[in-house]
Amino acid sequence: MSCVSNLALDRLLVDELALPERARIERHLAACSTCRERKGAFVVEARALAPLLAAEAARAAASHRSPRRSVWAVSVVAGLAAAMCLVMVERQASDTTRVKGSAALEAVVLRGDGSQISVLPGDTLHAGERVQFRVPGASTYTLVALDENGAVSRYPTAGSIELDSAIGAERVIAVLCDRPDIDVLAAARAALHAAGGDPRRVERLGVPCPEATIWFEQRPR
Amino acid sequence: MALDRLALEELYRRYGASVLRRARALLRDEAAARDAMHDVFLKAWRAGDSFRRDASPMTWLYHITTNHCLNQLRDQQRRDELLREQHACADEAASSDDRIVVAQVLASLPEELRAIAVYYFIDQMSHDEIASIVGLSRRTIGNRVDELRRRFGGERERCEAIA
Repeated sequence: MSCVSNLALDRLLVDELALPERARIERHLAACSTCRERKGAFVVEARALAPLLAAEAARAAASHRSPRRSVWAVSVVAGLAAAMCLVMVERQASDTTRVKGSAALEAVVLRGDGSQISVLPGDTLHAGERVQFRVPGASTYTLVALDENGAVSRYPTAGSIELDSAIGAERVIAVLCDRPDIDVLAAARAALHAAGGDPRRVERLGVPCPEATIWFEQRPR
Repeated sequence: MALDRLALEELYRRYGASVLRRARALLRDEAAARDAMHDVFLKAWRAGDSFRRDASPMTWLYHITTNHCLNQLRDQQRRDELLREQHACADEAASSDDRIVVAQVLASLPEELRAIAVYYFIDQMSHDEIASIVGLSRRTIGNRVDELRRRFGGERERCEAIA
């Protein structure tokens, strides 16, 4: 396979690719150091630009006030949500009432100096880093982590966790409901097994609740 | 109003780096690139319900950014030509400034080839990817890429003037 395009790398990084295409590109990345470096450069670039982009977003919000703005916001975000494979889900209010909306699982690295770095899908994190996961707007959810070594565990929904020394891909999934009858850990183990042990290939746990997810690579310092 | 701000932040956070990278590569001017990013997200915002839900947002934004920047370059080229006619900036026009080189190379192409040149030479997209982004058949893209390669001497690497 020839080297992957910028578009393909960008779509990979926002987790927008269907599973077969993602697997094809990841196979290429595993074999091609040039493309791996390009992908790494994109991640570094996105992280470095985060403050500037936040400022530009604030500038845009301030300069485009309009009565229709709320409608645009909802429809654009809904459009994006419909197309994003990974972090957007349909939210069900109850078994009988369905309310369409979206929920995103966000992850941030908490740095010693008090600053935070947003984690993008596929980012590389390091042992010892403190990471906080959150689903804005959701009050009740369960966090479960699946890693490439076969470990499945719950993460706290309050506070942060410190990454251990495990190496490899890890996926964190938020299950957005409070159903004690659902065994989230068992569902996660089954999903990981079905994905051949590769957490990147796990898109959903398949439980009867909305889900949101993000994955990252963990490396030693 | 908090929802608006959050929605915009999400657009910028998720797609801003990609859009800004494309704008910088084409416009070669930081202020112009940031303005382009601003305009592109405004277009995404305004697209609302007509936003193609079945397409990838990233692909959609690539397309919008490319067209927006090509229009900017075309307008800049026209302004440069006007200024040259008036002998007002002959020195600047003759310089090898990156932005002018990109604008001149792209301006040498017919309108229908410009975006394809960007996708092929700068992004190194496959024919399939270009076909999906511009909405033409793979065969048509193949023909147009052949034409581009003839124009630039047949080698992708020889088009570094654009990239």
